[in-house]
Formats: sequence, C-alpha cells, structure tokens
Amino acid sequence: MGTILEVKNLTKKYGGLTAVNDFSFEIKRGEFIGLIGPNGAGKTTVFNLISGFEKPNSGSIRFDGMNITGLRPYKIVNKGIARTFQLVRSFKFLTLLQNVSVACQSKRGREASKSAGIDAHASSILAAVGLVDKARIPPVVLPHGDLRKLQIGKALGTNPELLLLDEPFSGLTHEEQQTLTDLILKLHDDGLTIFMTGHVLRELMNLVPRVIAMHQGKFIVDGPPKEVANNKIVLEAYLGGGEAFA
Amino acid sequence: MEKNAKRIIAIVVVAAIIVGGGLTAYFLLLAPEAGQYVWSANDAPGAPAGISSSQIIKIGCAGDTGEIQGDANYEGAWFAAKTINQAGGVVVNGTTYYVGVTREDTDESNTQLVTSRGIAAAERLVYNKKVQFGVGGFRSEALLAYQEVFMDNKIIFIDTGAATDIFCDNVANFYERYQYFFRWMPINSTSLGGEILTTLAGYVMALNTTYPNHDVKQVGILAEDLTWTGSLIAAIQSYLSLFTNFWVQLLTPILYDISLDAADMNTHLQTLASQGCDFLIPVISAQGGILMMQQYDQYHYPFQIFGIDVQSQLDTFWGDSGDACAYETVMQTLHRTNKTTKSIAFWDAFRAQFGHDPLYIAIGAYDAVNGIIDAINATQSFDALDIIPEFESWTKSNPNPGVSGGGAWWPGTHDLVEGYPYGYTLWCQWRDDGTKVVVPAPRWAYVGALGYAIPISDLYPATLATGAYEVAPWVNTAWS
Amino acid sequence: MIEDIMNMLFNGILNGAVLALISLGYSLVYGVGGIMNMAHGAYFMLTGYLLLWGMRIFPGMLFLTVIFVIIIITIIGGLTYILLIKPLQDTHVGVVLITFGLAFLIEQWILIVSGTTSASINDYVLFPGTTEFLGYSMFNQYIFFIIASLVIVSLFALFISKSKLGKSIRAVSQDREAAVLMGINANRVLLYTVMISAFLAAIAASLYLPGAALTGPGMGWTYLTSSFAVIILGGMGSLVGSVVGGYIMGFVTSFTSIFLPNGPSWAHVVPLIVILIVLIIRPRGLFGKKKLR
Repeated sequence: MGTILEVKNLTKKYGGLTAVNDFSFEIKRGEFIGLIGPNGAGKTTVFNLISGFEKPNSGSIRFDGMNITGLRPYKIVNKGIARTFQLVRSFKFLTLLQNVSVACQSKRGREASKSAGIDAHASSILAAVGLVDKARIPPVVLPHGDLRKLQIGKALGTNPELLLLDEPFSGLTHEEQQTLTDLILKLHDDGLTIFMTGHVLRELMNLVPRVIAMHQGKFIVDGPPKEVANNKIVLEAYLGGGEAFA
Repeated sequence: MEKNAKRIIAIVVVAAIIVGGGLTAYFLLLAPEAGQYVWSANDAPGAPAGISSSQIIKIGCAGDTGEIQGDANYEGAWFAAKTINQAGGVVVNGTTYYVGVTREDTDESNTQLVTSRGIAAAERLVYNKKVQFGVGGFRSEALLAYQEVFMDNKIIFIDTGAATDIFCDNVANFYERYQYFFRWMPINSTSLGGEILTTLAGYVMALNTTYPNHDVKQVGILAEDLTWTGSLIAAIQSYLSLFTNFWVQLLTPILYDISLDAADMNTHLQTLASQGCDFLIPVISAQGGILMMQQYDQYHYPFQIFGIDVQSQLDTFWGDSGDACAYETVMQTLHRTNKTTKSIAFWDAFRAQFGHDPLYIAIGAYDAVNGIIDAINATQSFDALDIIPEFESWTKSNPNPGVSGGGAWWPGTHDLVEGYPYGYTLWCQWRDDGTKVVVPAPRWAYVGALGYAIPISDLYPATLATGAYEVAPWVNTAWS
Repeated sequence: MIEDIMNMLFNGILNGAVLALISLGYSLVYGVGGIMNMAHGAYFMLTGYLLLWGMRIFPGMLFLTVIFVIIIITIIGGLTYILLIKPLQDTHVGVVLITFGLAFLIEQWILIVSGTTSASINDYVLFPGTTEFLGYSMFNQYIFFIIASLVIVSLFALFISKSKLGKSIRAVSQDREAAVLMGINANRVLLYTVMISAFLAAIAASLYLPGAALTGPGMGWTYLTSSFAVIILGGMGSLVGSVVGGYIMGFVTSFTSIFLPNGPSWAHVVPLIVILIVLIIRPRGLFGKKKLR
C-alpha cells in the first residue's frame, strides 16, 4: 500500500489569523481516515487547500506522487480527488441523472463510463448510492439525506481515487445517518480511499480505524480512535469533552 | 497572477491616477493661464504662420462632432475663415486680423440626448477658449439649454441649424437678454411648414390633372417627436385645415420616438400605406431618413415622399442609403444653382475642398462667419453692442446677401426673413441614376379674402430649377 | 382593421425576433457567470460596420464577408472574456465598467474610422422584394429573418439541453463551485458562453441589419438597453424568459405604435411601463429563478 496523499508543512493565513499552521500528514491508498477538531479548528480549510479552492501560503500537497499544490480545482478533480461540501451543493434544475452525468463527463468520468456509456454509468452510480428510483426528478424536491447521497454520487461520477467528505452527517436524522454510514463503508470496502471530517467525535470513532486531530490549525495527534480520544490536548480542546463522547 | 503582483499593479495604477489627476488639476486650476486655450495660426486656416493670438477673431463652433450636422457647422465656418484669411483677413483700426475657428462637441445629434454635454461644450468655448462669437446649433432641445451660456456672457451666437420658433420669440419677448441671438439658418419651423404645404398643394393640384383615375389627396406626416417638428406640424395642420373642403386631406401625423429601429419604421410606413397615403411629408433631421428610404425602396410604397430629410441633403446619401433614395424630394437650402450670384462659385469651391455637398448647416455657418466679418469691417469694432445694431440694419431694405439667399433679418426677432429672395429653400429630387435636381416649386395657397385656395407665385423662379418633378414608376402604376 | 392587426403581428414578431436573439446571449452570460457584458450591444453594432466595410472593400464576396465577420465577432467576444472580464470577474462592478469602456471604445473607434456614421448595407439583402398575405405586404428579408431567428433559437435550445457543453453551461450557471467539483473548467465554459453570445449577436446583426440600415455607432446602446429590459422582464439569466420577454416587448411596441393615440411617441415607453408592472407583481421577472445578484 503506497502513499496516496502527502501533505507537508501546510500553512494558510488570512491576514493575521493562521487557519492552518505547519500541518503535515500522510494517507495510504485504501485507507479510511477521519479528521477531527472542534468548530473552527481548520478542517474545512484543509479540505479547501487539498481540493484547490484555496491556495496555501506555504507547504506542499502531493497526490499519487504528483505535486498538486495550488492547482485549480477542476484540474485536481481530473487527477482523481473528489470532495463534497458541508453545505449541500447540487444543480437544482437538472434531474438527478443529469446531475451525475455532468460529473461523468469529466476527464476521469469519461474513461470510467467508456464501456457502458455516460447515461448507463450515471444510473449505475445512482443505483450504488440508492437513488436510482428518483433518477428523473430534480434535487429541489429531495430530503436532506438524499441530497447528501446525491453529493457523493456526483463525486463518484468523477471516478475519484480519493474522496474527501466534509461533515457528511451534519443535519441528518439518525436513520439517514445509518444509511449513509452503510454507503460510505461499502465504498471503502470497494477500495476507495476516504478522508472525512466531523466535529462530533463519536460518529467518527465508530467508523474509522485512524484519526487525525487538529486544533487551532495545528496538528495534535494521529492514531487509532481510542488513543486519540485519550489525548490530553484533544480533551482540552473539546472543553467538557463529555459532550463529544456523549 | 499572484496576489503580490496584483497589489503592485494596483499600487502602480493608483499612483498613476493620483499623479495624472494632480498634473491635470495643476494645469487646469493652478498653473498660470491654467486651462487657457492658446489660439494660434493653426486655428486660422489660410492665415500667415506666426500670427499672434491677439490678431485672431475667435469664433467657436458648437455642434456634434462626428455627426454630419456638427461636422457641417465646422466645415462651413472653417471654409469661410479660410476664404477670408486667404483674401488678406480684415483690417480693423489699422491692424490686420484673421479669422480663427474652433469647435467643441455638444453631442446634440445623439438619440439619447443629454443637454448637459451641450452646456459643457459651450462653457469650454466661452471660458476656456474665450471665443468672441458662437455659431452652431442643431437639436433645439440642446441649443435651448446651451445658448444660455452665450447669453450669460453677452456673446453673439448665430444659430445655423435649429428651426424652432421659440429662439426668436425669446429675442422679441426678452430682448435685453436674448439680443445676442440671431438665426441665419434655417427659416423657422412655422415658415418651413408653410413652404412645404403650399408647394405640396401646388404639386397635388398638378398631379390630379395628370392622373384623372386617381384622387391624389391623402397626405401623411412622418416626423421626429421633437421640439422643432411641433410648430412645423402645427403650421401644416392649420394650413391644411383650410384645404380640407378642397382637395388635400391630412392623415393622423405620426410622431415617432427618435430611437426607432427598422421594425418601428416598418410599422409606421405600413400604417400610412394602409390608410391610402398619396404624399408623405417626412419631417426628419436624423437617422430615421435612411430607414425610411431603405424600406420605401424595398416595398415600393404607392406614395411620393416630399418634405424634410436632412441626411438626404448630402450627395453622399445616395451611396450611404445603398442607392435607395430615388424619387425622394427634400427641402434643401442650396444646390448648384444661381440662388445668389455667389452660390455656384461657393458650391464648387466647397465641393473641391471637402469632396461632398454642403449641408444646410454648413451654408448657414459659412454665411454667418462672413456676416460677422462684414459687420466687424463696417463698424471697425469687436464689441457685441456695436455689431448687433449693424446686424439689425440688414433688413429687407438693406440686405446683406450671402450664398444661401438675400440676407435679411426681421429687426425685432433676429429671425431670417422667409420668402423669395431672402430666406427660402429649394426643392431637390433624387433621380434613379443617383443625381439630384432642383425641381420647380409651384404653389397654391388659401387666400382669406376669397375663401378658397388659388395658385400663387412660385416659391422661387423656374429658372433655378434644373429638372422636372418625377413620379416614381411604381406610384405611376398605382395612380394610372 | 385586418391590415392593422397584420401590421401589429408582423412587426411585433420582427421586433421580438431581433430582441430574442440579442437577449438570449446577454442573458446566457449573465446566468452562467453573473456577468453583465455591457459590450454586448457593441458586438451587434460592430457586426454591421464590419459588414459595411466588407461590402465596400470586397463587393464580390458578400457571403464570405458575412462568415468572416461572424467569426471575427465571435473571437472578439472570446478576447473580451480573456483580456477584460476574467481578470476582473470577482468584482461585478469592475466587469460592468470595463465592458462599458470597451463598448465606448468600439463606438468611438468607428466614429473615427468611418467617414460617415449612418449607412445602408442592403447589398446583403438575400431576399429582396415583398410577399403579400391577407392584403398585407411583407419584406422577404424580414420574413427570412424571422424564420431564421426561430430556427436559431430552437437549435440553441437543443444545444443547451442535449450537448455536453450545454450541460456544462447549465451546471456552471446553477452552481459554479459544484460544477468545478465535477471536473468542469468553469472559466473555459464562461469563455465559450461569451463567445456564443457574441456569435448570436453577430448572426442577428448580419441577417437583420441588411434590411434595417446602420443608424450610427451609437445604435449598439439602443439594442443593449432593450435587451437589458427584456432580460429583466423575462427573469435575469432565464433563457426561456429572454425569448418570451423579447416577443412581449416586440408586440407591446407594435401594438402601442398602431393602436394607442400618439402611439409612435410612446412606442418605447409603454413596454417599460409593462415591465414595471410585471416587476411589481413578480420581482424576479416572468421566468426568473434566481434573485438579482
């Protein structure tokens, strides 16, 4: 298992505020890994830096051995990194099938759908995320949980090797969380490398074998959930940690 | 681009703006003679090089640079200056002076008129260039606003292109303020309306004899919805109401918004055609003319066009309209004919200079500049209060003929006297080979004492005509 | 009466066909990039003047000239995006100002280059003469233009809904960042969009202006403001809205001209009143999905 993502000394400043401070970590191919930290710790900024929506002030990001630091977002997608947003983003006036097929038209998406054809491939992705029966309707009428699935479906349309999920569970009902968890686990079993954030530790702890914790833009600890949960700084960061473990 | 590079560029741009603005402010406001225009031999065509600013009679042209009307005003004034300067200028109290002309863009031909641009142009002429006389004006709405700058500063302004009656009414009603205003071109809207209608009536009478199977009767008006057309149309309507029981019948005038496009023009011409129009009187000073003639040429509408179309006064209109203006008859101040003894020589010299015919405004500006110099010469003074009485003395009994006509003004109003041999227009018709001829101008008019209309003397002598009036072949077919 | 009604219908459609083509591109660019391209009317006007010069310089090659001019305008559209809009696209005011400046530049340049400011380009009239229908005669070139406009609008609709680029355009217009996540190069899509809009304006000009004459380099503004009104009426960024809005404006204009007292003076005011009323009732415009940005 080689390294798929290597982040070194990543720093991002907004004026006087350092959102990400000298942050380094590695992800191996096929891993399923979580990024935790309280609100405002810099998790989303890390995702923005990896996916190209923001440029770091210093540091490097290597994906599959290639330097992707500062590349434009669509180019990073075409290298094989897909992401979802914390807030649901979709093309409101296209049908679900069209939503996913837009993604299938990307460079990697086209290669993946070469044998089946774009529409067929897009429906197979919808089937995989459990939305195939709603293929012909636009997302404006869907419940929140389905929109999350659609986001993942669209990300899958670009045929990624690494999937970044930003707070996938926020705002979902317990039942919706359950089906989404099943979906994510299945994707991981199929060999996809997944990197996800969450600010409620419990969700992640039950799911991932490895966790990276950050606080105020800084790396704190990297290891199995149990170990991370017992780290002093992590406990301090989550003032009244009881909430996080509840 | 990196953020720093952007910042540097931003700083450079801001610095450049500050430095540029500072320098501009310095030269406009603070430097000695700040913003003063320096008159030199360059402004006085035909004058010897090296003459000083104090030897130049400073005339400012107000018009829309880049549009035919404003350019014509400048051409006329410039050409007059050149002619006078080449002849040695004018001697006042022993010193030789030369005529200098300068212009500022009033933007008054713009369909989206902004009168403040005209005012700004007039202010540049008066305050920055320190002109002694102003000539110009075309769109009445604009001139109404910017003439005030000249009146405020008691500078004589000669109108060379705006026809609305109001200007000279102002002179009559508020003489103290508006005595500096004179109109040398064209005759006022009401008189234009009268000349159009009486001549049109003359043709209608004649054509009804030629075409016994058709009543040539319905007259339509297609006019710009502007100030200058208002009194003109009112004049036509009042004359026509007298003809109603006789022959001529007026259709509802169409006054269009001047930002019209081809579809609007199509709508209007179709409306006229469906109402059985026989004669269309255009009252158009701007781009409506080319739209009208292009569609007239394509549709072959069964009516004759006879009226005012300023664009069509230029010989270049034939080519510009794509050979589409055949059989259009338009009012024109001058053509190559002996209107006065100076007319043909001027016409040929102007064409040799500019390569095209003079527009009425060019002729007005030419006569205006010559008139100014005549008055300076006669009074040996540059003072407006000396020159105004001299202008006012050029009445019907003591005219000062120019190239356009007899040169007489009504004393109380400073308005051009209408009627042969003073202020009158020629009627010119396009032939289908692209030539233009002066056609005769037979007239009928309502005579109050008789209670009906009778033929009256022609608008101008038949000797001025260079061709006969023609009916378009498709109209001929429709009327036969 | 029947002639008046025919007159209203024909000129309403004619006016609508022009406005629809011009507004479609304008609206497309707004919808996709949130960009107000104030030079859009200048493309239309410039097409006319390039045709005029082409007609005078290469009188024997009218067809080639048209093709060539349409290509030039499309390229100018592309350059407008690359050189002026893209560097400023984060600031909407900046884009408005710079494209406004470009439009003035083109206008003034034509004033300087062109000896005369209004001219006919009727050498490009493909179908001279008139056809009579129900006693109403219609200029064949206008009939052709109306049909061509309908065909182009339909092809455009097909292109937007079916083609790959069309889907990308719709994706970017609905959520630019999400579209980028789908591997779409949003800047390139925007470049194509501006080029398509310039292309549509050039097509409209080269088919309509031969029957309509060039009334001066300022005429671009008239069409820009009309199409601006149209897309506000139809809903900012809505393509259906700009076509429907164009025809509504056209019909209201011709109806006013023919049936209302002093109509010709009011022909360009009444449509604005109609728009005001529509906006009071429905602030997003007829087919508007988005709020004004």
